[in-house]
Amino acid sequence: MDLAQGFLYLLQPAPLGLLCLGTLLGIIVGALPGLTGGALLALTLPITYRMSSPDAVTLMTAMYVGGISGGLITATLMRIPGEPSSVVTTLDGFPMARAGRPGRALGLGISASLIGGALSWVALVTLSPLLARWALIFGPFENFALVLMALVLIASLSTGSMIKGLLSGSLGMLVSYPGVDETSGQLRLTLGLHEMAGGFSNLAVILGVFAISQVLADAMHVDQKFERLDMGVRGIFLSPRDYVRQSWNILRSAVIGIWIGILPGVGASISSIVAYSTAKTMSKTPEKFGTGFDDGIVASETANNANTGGALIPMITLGIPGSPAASILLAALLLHNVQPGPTLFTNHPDVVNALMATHLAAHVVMYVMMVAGCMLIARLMYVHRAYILPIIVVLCAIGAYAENGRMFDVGTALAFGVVGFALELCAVPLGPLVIGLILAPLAEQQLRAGLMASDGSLLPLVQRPLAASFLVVSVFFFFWPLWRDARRRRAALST
Amino acid sequence: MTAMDNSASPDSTASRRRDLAFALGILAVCALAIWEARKQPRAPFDPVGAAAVPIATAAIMIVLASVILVRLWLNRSTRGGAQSLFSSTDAADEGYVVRPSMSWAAIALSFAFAAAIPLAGFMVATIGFLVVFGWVLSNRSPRSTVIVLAVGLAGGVGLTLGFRALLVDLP
Repeated sequence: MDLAQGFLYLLQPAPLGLLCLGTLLGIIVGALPGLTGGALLALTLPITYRMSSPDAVTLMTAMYVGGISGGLITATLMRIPGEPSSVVTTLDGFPMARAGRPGRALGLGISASLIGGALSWVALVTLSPLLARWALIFGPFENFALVLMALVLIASLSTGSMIKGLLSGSLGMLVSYPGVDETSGQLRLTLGLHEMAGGFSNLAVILGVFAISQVLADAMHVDQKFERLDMGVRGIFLSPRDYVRQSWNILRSAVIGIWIGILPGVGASISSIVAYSTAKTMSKTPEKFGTGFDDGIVASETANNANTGGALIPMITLGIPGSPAASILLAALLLHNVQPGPTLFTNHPDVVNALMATHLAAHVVMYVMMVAGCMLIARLMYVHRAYILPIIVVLCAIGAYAENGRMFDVGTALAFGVVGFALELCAVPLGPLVIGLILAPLAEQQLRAGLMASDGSLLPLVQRPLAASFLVVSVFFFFWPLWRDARRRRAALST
Repeated sequence: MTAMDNSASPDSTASRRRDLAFALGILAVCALAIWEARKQPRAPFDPVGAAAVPIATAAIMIVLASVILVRLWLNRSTRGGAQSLFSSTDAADEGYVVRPSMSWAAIALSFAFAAAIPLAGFMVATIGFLVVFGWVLSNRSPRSTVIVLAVGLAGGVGLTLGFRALLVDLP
């Protein structure tokens, strides 16, 4: 099945229905501040068990795209970003909407999302096969060094404390160890509990960290009221002149979004922040940013949607997720016994093509749905959280139980919800935890396979050029924040 | 490290306490992991063994947590991670009271719900949970109570039948 067949597959009734349903649910959940697209993906996993792999990938990719896009609706109309990646959109979207131009603000965001997504799709279909072919030469030491690099990048590039980022990723790794050790077949870290023999379910941990912890956080804000704006859609369609005027901003922001998406573990939030800052820095009128300026909305929304295609590239070619949400997509593929990595293209071309076709088609469907129904979706914000939050907890319980039929997993999800909530209170980023959880088994398996082949010697890690290069990059990104902060301190002292 | 921006100003007491609790919690988890991993027998064919990677991970975490403790001792800042998975509500209307008690209630009720499922069955436990949790979160007016009851009944029955129709195993 080549890419054209991927699109033909999407024209069948069931995949088409899943595409539309996934995109719509993604937009709705993306617009609601109480739940993120990542949580929706986690909640949807159990429903996909009985689907074919391409159907499951279609539904979840559509949700991924819809979730990233939906956040702009409430960010623009209510100054409440439905998704963390839409935080920057509020800076210009809301002032423009409040100035009586909500339709134009939404139109700029929706169009930028479509074009950003489409450009990242081009990168996805062109770069993925090349990267996959290149990755075929990787041995266990290269794979281990690559995963190590990914983990360091996640901690290094997430804004805030690198120590906390590293600790979060390491905690995720530690959580993945209990259960049967696949190399030796021994049970480990079970604390003598027979329920722990199967280890912690990845899905249960993800549900806890992504969804339950958000419920616990939202419960505190249950009395929050949202500002209502006059919701007209006049100006939602941009003129050709608008597109021409924004073309350079769109292209630059898309490249930023794609590049940051490819970097392991760095989500769409960082893409939009970097693209916005770059647009402001390079603008002739930087003072207009933050006052309801077209360029700000376009930069932010182009970048966060471009991030989706970028994040899928390392996920399908190397088995390393480019964002926390992509890590759930990766978990979904693993649950369907589809192993992402360079062999995915030869072993499961149907899955690859369905994913790639859905990524583009979901952006088109998203555009149509958002233009037609954004005001209706915005009204869902006024549904009181008392009616929504309990249902999310029940959905998490169902999702956690459905994977293995164990009540232990329901407890795991709730416990990790509390852990995630506590970590957020301590300002510890949760993204690295989820990615560490997913990547640790791969890293350990590759390291031990390599050590068995080298009679226990770690020397190939520095002797093999690719593995050594990945290690050098890891070391660089580990020490770069140190150097950067030291330089900032010196600059601050000198002024 | 990024956190090594040695801002001269001391952290607030609350954030220092949180950092302390976080570092100590990490140390406790690592100690437990190392204690448990050291019981692991060596596999004859495996040069590394099942315990090595968990112990190495825990050791790295101990070093990192110790850095946080040292920084607290030196009264230096460990900046928080800004890349939150949570959707932000900070920018919204601030004219409301944040109620941490609701989070505690959510935790208690969620665990009670999980405990009730084997006793009462999924549908009954779900209806009860949706009604009680919904009522606790609502403003408890007669109107809200009626809506919560309706949502609880419809949600409990609907979710049970809906997921059964999708052939998803229910607790």
